[in-house]
Amino acid sequence: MIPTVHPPGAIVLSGRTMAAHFFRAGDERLSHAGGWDLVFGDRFGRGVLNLDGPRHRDYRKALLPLLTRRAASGYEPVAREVLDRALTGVAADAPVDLHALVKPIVFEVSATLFAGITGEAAMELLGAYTALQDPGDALGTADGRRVARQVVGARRRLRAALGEAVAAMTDVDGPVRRLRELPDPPGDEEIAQNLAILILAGFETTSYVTARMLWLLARHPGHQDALRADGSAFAAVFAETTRLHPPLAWLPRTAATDLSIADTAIPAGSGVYFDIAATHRDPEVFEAPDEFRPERHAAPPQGKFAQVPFSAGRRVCAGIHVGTMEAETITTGILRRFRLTAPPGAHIGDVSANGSTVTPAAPLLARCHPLP
Amino acid sequence: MLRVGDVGMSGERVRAVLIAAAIRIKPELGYGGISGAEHITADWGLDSVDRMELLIAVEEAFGIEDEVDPRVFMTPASVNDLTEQIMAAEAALR
Ligand code: HEM
Repeated sequence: MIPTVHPPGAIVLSGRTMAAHFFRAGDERLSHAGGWDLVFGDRFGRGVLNLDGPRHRDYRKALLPLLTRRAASGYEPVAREVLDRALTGVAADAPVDLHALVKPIVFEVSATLFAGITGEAAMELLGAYTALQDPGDALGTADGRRVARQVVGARRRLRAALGEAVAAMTDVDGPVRRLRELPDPPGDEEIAQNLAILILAGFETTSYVTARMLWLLARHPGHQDALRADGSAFAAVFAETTRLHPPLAWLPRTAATDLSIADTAIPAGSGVYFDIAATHRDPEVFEAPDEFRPERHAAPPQGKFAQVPFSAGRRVCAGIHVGTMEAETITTGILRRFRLTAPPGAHIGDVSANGSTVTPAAPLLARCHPLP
Repeated sequence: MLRVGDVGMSGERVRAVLIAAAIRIKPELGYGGISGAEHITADWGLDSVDRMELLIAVEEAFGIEDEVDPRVFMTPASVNDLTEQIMAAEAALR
């Protein structure tokens, strides 16, 4: 069990049977907008992740062509370039916090691809995201003003940067143009919010998964060597990492009307969460579910909804191909240059401050030994 | 530093600043006409970051820093309640 808090009265569903109910309910029954408001309010604005109804459908349809497998492989050079630059700064043989290493890389790739924001400007934007993601309890203390100013300043910087990005991206085939080409196009402010959400949805998930994968490989040298020798081992390692550590451990919703799910009455307005992390450790489906065993993915998992790190159904993750490409490019790029080691010790679990996304309970440290 | 009294920090002006800030955060609030009695969270959907924004808006509008206790912004139900609490806290500072 990952320690977290859900709002009072919230209903937490898990397992394959509940998954069928959960993933088949449309957003007119289980609201994504309401659910994500429970997690981070609407302070990043609204976009494909946290809208419902026709606006969601239109925006999703407009953006999907930018996120296909083919589009993702076209983005690979960007990921390589950002990675190469970041790796020149890695201290040889010293302990490195993998999440702290990977997060700015993934962030810059997303900011470059979707908003044309690179380098120093991207790092400033990451600072703004970080301040807004975990704004803390500024209003709970007499001297919380400093934090309040930081958070409010972060939101203003974020809005300003993405507002400028909308203007700068006019002539690029990217999200701005795709959204403007809709029959009933959103205004610039809404387009900027879409960019904010697209970047948010992509960078937190992918950077966490990639850091986890590197850490697991550091602790499992056999699998590390196998992947270094043969890139086709990536799919199984990735599947096993997202099984053990889905970056969205719970998917948040609110009941848009009075509902009944598998004979449980759910009053309108209730928080409803689907527990992906628990579903992935069902001993009926996965033998020794807590163990890292990429080999188990030689065959697809038995049963629908047994493994759903990207969600399922109509609103499955729009960024599967981009996220997978980024994770693969970064992981294999690092393994080509370094042998990773990590101290044995107990497994480091996850914690969740917001009832959906997870962070490691302690820094994921590894040493990077340069390879000849 | 400017003191509150110097810039005429009346309840009416504080209330106007708060309402203007709320509309900046959520433009759609401007369309319906606002009374100030609506619940900040339940009716307007402002969250804790939005409440921080209200605090900063008051500080900026009246050129004051480190005068208003942030805790005042944590719980009040409506902008009218919030205005009352800010003015009461300011009176106590005098
Ligand atoms: C390993 C990486 C990733 C994982 C595990 C992941 C997982 C997920 C999950 C579980 C959802 C469903 C959220 C919900 O139902 O409330 C989701 C939605 C979404 N993801 Fe990802 N994601 C990843 C990477 C990305 C990337 C790189 C992008 C963008 C390029 C992205 C864009 C989105 C969007 C736009 C949605 C909303 C889809 C909708 O509601 O229609 N994701 N993701």
